[in-house]
Amino acid sequence: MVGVRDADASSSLGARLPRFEDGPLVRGRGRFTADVPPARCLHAGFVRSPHPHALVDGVDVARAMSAPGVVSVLTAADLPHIPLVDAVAVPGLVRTPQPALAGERVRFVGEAVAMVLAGSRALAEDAADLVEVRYAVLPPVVDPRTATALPPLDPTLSSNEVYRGERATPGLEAAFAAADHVVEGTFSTGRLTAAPMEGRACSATFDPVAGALTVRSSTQSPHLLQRKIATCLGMDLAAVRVLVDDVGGGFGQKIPASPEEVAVALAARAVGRPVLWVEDRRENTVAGPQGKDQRVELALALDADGTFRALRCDVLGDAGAYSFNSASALIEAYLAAGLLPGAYRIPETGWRVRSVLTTKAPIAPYRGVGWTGGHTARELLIDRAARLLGRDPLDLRRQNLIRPGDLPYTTPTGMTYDSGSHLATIERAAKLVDAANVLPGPTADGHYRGVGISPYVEPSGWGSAGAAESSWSFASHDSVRVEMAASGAVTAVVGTPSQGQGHATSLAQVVASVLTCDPRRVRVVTGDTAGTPLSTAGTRASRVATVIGGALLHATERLAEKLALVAGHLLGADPGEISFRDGRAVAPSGSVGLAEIATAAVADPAVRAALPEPDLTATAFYDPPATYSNGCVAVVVDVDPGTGRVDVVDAAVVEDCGTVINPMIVDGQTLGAFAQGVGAALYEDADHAADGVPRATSFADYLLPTARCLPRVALEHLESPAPHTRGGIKGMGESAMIATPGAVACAVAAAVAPLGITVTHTPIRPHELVDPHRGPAR
Amino acid sequence: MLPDHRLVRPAADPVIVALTVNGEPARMTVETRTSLADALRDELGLTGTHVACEQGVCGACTVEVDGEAVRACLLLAVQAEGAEVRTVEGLAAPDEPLHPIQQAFTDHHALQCGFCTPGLLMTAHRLLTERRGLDEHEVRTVVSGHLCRCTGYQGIVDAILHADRAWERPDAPAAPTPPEEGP
Amino acid sequence: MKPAPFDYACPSTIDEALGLLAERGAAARVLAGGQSLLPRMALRQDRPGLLVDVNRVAGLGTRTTTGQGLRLGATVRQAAVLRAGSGAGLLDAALPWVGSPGTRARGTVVGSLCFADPAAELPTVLLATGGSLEVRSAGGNRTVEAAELYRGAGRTALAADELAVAVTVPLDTADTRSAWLEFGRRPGDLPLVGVGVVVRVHAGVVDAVRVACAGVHDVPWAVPVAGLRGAGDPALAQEIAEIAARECRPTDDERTTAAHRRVLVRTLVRRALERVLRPDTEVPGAA
Repeated sequence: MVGVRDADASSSLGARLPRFEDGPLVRGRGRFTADVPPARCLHAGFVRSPHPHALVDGVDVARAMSAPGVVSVLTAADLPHIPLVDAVAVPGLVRTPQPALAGERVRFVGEAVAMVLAGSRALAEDAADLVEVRYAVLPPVVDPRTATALPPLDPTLSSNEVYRGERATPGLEAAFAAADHVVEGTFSTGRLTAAPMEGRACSATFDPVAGALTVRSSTQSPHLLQRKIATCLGMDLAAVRVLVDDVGGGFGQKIPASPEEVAVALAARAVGRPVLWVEDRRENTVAGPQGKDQRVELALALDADGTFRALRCDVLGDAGAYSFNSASALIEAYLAAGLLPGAYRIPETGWRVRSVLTTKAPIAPYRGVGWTGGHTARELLIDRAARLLGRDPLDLRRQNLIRPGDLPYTTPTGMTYDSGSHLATIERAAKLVDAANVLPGPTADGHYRGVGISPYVEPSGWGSAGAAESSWSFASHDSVRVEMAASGAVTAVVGTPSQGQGHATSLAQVVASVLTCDPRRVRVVTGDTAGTPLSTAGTRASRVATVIGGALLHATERLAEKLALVAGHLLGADPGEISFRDGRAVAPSGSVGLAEIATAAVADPAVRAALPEPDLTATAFYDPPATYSNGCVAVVVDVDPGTGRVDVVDAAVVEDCGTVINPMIVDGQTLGAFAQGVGAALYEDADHAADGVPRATSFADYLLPTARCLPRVALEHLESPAPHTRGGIKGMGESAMIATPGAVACAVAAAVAPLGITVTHTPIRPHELVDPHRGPAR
Repeated sequence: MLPDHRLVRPAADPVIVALTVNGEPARMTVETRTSLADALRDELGLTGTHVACEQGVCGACTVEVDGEAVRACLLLAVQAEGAEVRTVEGLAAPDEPLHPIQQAFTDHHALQCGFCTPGLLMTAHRLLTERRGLDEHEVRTVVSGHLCRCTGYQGIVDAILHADRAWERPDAPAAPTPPEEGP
Repeated sequence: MKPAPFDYACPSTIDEALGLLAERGAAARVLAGGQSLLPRMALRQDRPGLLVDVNRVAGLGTRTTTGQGLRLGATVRQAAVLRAGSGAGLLDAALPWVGSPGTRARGTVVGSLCFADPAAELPTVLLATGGSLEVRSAGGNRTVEAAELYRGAGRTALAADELAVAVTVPLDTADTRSAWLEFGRRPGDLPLVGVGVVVRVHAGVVDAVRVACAGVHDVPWAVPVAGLRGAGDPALAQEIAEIAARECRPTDDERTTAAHRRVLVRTLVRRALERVLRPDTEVPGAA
């Protein structure tokens, strides 16, 4: 089952291959959206609401229209009223319409009210300052707990609560009644923002003769954006082409079609000139989609010996101002509840989920969507239970984790974990940080140490089945195409762009593994809806390796069958006798290289005469079964009670994502997610003040972790190949963001427990860890 | 005393800035308010210099100006008159092999999306031009002047430590003990 | 995030710069390193009508030693001082905390002093060392002592037509000991509280203590310890830390609470003093 596999020399799978995409990027010759402005483009600048909630009494654009360099100023009145609507259709979810530009009402600080088109971004900003918007200020809706007591943000709604659902296993109440211990807690995960280094960006060019629109965007989901724009502009899907080249990070924020993207497309058609919008950091921080933000009430029923019997949760999600299109108000609270049991054997569960609207930027996916908040709460509760029962937290977890013999294991919430190494990863992670020797209480310098152990399950590789196990409706439709040129060079065409995940390398390795060729002979092409096969969902939910990787295996095998036909002809062998080795087709009678086969298929009349269709193109569709990655994050923290400073001094991640395609890339995803998790636990905060105004507006006050905030992380891979997916591939990339905030929070909680301080919220702020009434700390 | 009004460049007037970029003479026509980063990108097409925060926090726009690694978002293009500027495109010509620092970045998986990478390369280039024999603490201290959202920095730190050893450069003196920092 | 339009001048003499400042008054701002001013302008929090770029003004880039100490001209970069060392221990200790290498390469010492951010390191260093600013206008020269310089967050005693041409920081003597400590959310951030201490020790007895704090009030704050002297043992550090924590008047803001700042003052003052009150400063036989 488990073990660290050496990369097979004859296979490109498992090879620690430096990335093919790096060359242009390290030379400064990438192609990000802002790098390729359309000729004669206008630059868009948005007028954004300074108020969290207000009626718009009027917008006067006269002064702005006459400002230097201004071509047009558009308001909601100038655009057709086509709201963006959440595509998710979970029963009971109230879907709210979101306008491209706010009309009668603004519902969060930063919501766009008008759009200036000018000769440069600076001129657009000058004119935006001159647009006079008259607001009638309304009370903000800030606290999700009282949101339902306030008038609905949208007059078409009956309440600010857009979802309420309850579910429980039949034995839940009996399990609680029979429990020897019930441990309770309420924990909250703060509002974050994904903060990709490149903000959102898009350009649009409309060709009135052809009636066609070309959009270039920094998006994770080009087909989804194509569909959204076509719908909003009333155009046929085929008339809208979306291009994506390099994308400077996404992490979920770039999944939904942004209102700004729709506004840019509408504007380009309206004014008859290309329009470019490059989001700046203030816009991204304040007005871009945000993430997380949920409050979780938990109760855990245990036997006297520590066996978990039942877990109940009540999750309240703060959806922000709109149930965001294609992302939904439900992504946080609802998904958190679905993964409630995590990596533990818990026979009975029950949940209540509510999602409410507030006057904040809408919630969209951010790495570890939903799961981070539920996971963090559960792990903090388990640590609390261990302290109450006088148990070692690692030992209590070990007792209740899913064991190898339990697999496949179906959770009471309906997920079937296909395989995994839950116990093995926790043991290894705990050993790597020497958890057993982290002693509580003050060290010689007066600091306090604590260890946090956070074993996780990551629902991964979402296709329809994976989503269904999370009770989620999800359009999973992914095709790929593999072609071989006459030179033997292979092109793999996919609909899922990369935002840094290294698809050009790892997907090439997948294709090469079938053809046994050098992965460098495989070029991965993506980022053009006019030429790439459909991926309705795009790059998200740790799905590309599983879904697209699986589809590529399938397509490449079909290509290999065609190659075998040609090779059989060339070698005088039965195609069934052909196998591939070292990039050659091998038969008992001899072998032939891929280039020779490809050349023959194109140019050899004898081949043409023998084979009716020597076409070296293959396509495949794949919608994989559900699969689950697992692993464990372990950290050691040092808390200085004299300042409240928390240092993560040691960390390990042991992960198991089934068959590893490229361990270097898996390491990179893990380290990056770990850093984001430390940020979520200790630094990052997109919270809003009581007046509804966001506190963070830039990178000076939205605190991303830096190199000095992070320890060197020990990484190990175990491999439990997925039994049902192609190639045994599972998804990964979000896992460390699911589990790291909980690991850090548990470690801090353990460290400061002797001081009488409890941890119930992330981010943990320094002032919460000092006690002004205590004597002077060392 | 009366000011010399010839000194004043009005906001509305374009300014021509002459400077040297990556060893070649260059001219840029800018507004007084145009940052060096925007001018390099828009006027000279050197789009490897990325703009991510415009507050001097993230370091993505870092270039070398007269031998110092600086934030190109916090330097006006007009201030670069006569300056020697090196951008990421100047580390290695398209037909040349990668610079040892660039090579180390790819070897150590020091980039994912690559948006912050040019700035880090320029800071690393300046650091390693001046010094050799760095330790991890010092590299982390310098790297902490940059933000990367993808990598968690471990690959970046490893790449710079490796490039310190791999890049053959005769002039860089050994690093002195870095100043002590931190409570 | 592009600045509002502004006129720009790049004078080559102090008189030219002063003439521009005199004419434009409060609408003009001096541009030195620009590492604090340009970010505010990008957010349009500052919209000067004219930027007077002093980077090419002759004579402002010099570093000299005078009878009063180290004199740094207005365009001397933070990085240059850090690289060469200043001879003023507190300045050397604080500079690595100022911004990042990328901003220190352009940022100037004098510029940071004039920007008057109450949480920034260098204004508090100036107060703790007892330095002064040399200011010039068309009307003449004057010297502004650190204690007189700051009038509030972002506000100094300089008039709109005045140009700070240099700072003078007293050099350490053989009996000077100093330390800078600060706490920010991340290393390199503007601190929540920063503490500078400068101590003089004669024959094992502390005969002068200056303690100043950043981030506590709207100007750099000198802890009232004038006249305090005694054996340089941990008890003195403790005593001064308690005075500082008692006398400071921090407020809540978006970055942290007043109560947290008070704890930081107590902790950092004591730790900074403990660093400089080493065992060899203790009076033998003292209780």
